[in-house]
Amino acid sequence: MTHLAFQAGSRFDRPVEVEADYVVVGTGAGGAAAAVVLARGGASVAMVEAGPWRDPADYPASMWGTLRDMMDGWGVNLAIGRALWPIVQARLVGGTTVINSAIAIRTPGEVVREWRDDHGFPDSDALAAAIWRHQDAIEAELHVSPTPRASAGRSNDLAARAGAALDLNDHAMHRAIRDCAGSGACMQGCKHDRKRSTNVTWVPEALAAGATLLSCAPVARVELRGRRAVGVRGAFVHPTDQRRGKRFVVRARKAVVIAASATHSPALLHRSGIRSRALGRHFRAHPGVGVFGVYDTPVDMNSGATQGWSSTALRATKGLKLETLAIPLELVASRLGGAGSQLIGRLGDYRHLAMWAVAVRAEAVGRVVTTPTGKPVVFYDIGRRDMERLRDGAHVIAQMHAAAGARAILPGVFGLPYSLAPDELGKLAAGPTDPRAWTAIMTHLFGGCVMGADPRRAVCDPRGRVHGYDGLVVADASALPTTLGVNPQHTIMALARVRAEELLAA
Amino acid sequence: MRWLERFALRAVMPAGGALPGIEATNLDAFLDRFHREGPAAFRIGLVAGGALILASPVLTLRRPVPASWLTPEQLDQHVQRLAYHPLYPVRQSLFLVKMIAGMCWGADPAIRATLGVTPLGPDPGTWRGDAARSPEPPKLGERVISLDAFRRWAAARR
Repeated sequence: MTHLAFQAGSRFDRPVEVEADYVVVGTGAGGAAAAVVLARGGASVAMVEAGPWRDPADYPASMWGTLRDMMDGWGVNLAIGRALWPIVQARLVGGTTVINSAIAIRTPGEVVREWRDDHGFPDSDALAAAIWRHQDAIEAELHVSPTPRASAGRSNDLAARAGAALDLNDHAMHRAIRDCAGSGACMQGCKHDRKRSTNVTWVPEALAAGATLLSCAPVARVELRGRRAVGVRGAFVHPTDQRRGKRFVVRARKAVVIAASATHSPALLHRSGIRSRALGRHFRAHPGVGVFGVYDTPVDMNSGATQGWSSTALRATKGLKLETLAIPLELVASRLGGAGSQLIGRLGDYRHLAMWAVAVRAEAVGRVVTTPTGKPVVFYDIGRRDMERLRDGAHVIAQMHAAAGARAILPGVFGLPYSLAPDELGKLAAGPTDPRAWTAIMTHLFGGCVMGADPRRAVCDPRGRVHGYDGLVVADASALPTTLGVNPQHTIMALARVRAEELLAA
Repeated sequence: MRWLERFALRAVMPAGGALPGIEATNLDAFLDRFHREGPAAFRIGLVAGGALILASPVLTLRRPVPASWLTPEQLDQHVQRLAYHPLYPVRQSLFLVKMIAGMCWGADPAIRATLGVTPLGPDPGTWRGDAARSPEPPKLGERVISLDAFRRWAAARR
């Protein structure tokens, strides 16, 4: 196992230099999936990760610690439009797989057909079959299973009751978690080491197979020789004080695989001088909002699986995905309306709150712009139609709370009352569609380096190879040309493994 | 600045309600950590939010005085109106102050005990390769690092 973490500047006379067949930038869902398949195939692999490698024993407990130790930019990266909505991404070995709920939902077949019809994918049936074949394997490797009833917790039980009452064709969430302890802290990393995030699965496996990992190593640029990618370079950065350390160069004998995320991959290609009209464009997302229900008896939403229930019943008709969610006490204060003694009084309901959320398969298209300092900035303006669907989804969630016996529903929408009685939900259905009235987040991100047959509209070809360049492949959410309408981790992992197989076969 | 930050945090989570306010927590220790570790965006946002709360009673109460001159009841009414202000930037500014206050208040063991919520564990802040967890790697002078040398070092560390 070869792991190079932060290297102080004085330790080496020259930059740290490593050479491998394949260099994989990023160790999240896409990067780790590609790296492990390449390593299993006998190739030498170097993984390069911007953040540090933290084991479950290193995970923080508080929200402050989570923002400090795990989140990209302390969680204050924003999608800029009429409203400012936070972008949730991690920055550590394992990427966002460490801080999400490990939700595994298979790639919908019609999405791949959309890629064929609208983006020129030549053999979508074969691609879909390859993705699903890998998803079979991933589900076995990462112990994907429905959330067990014993660890669901009351919030998920209430949602199941509401789902049955409203005929939402709901189910226990399928997650890559082995023997869930129900600690309600998926978003802070699973300290019980039950979540099969890539930092505890595929990254160690790739290292055991001979791969090299550079952590605390943000890549500054891809090295090009003519139109061929031959490696990456950057400098180690101390994860605590951001001190710059030794420079590194990682040479790729065969290819560089980019999997740095939907925001960082386009910025990296831009910094590297990749010329493409489509670079940074076609950025899409599933914006999401949560709605609280207040119950007479304690719910303790942070006791039990963080996201143990789901419904995709409204995905085909409205592009909505419904799921449970739990946020820690420290974040509830900002999510509840009001301030002062009013806010303190409302926080007294904390243990009686259940938060359920809706994510919308938005049609809005944004852009990732690279600033002069090389950082990505997302511009994203959600349209009225998307907002109407988001509002419809919030209304369904409110109806679920009513069906589950909530005494009050807290929509958290500016312009509506703080609390609605179950017979007042019509106010939410007719609520504002101005995004500034809503406290939403950008949950799932797509695009920026999209795949497609036409180089004028796509950065990569349908096999993820950057148009016009050799040895440069994109294998993360930034390559997805559309949204999915379901949680993307499973698709990103499977598609990255398909890309790795193609590289091995080339 | 520290006074302004304390003023803002106390205004959005005051004492005297059904639950203890932020003053009941170890606010000084939190602010020390906030300044030592926190990003510039948080520090600027908290100062800007504090300045907004301090300077804006004229917008909410029609009183052209700094908020620090208001009675506790008036200050409470002032921040409540700011939280529901029609201008989005004003609401967002309050949102950030509330978020920072919440991270202090909600992590406090006494507050959590009052609510019947389990206390939080530590934030170790450690990582693989950290001096707190492992020795530094060997000094290597080769132009291309010998992976064998690193494997020997890693094995010795285990």
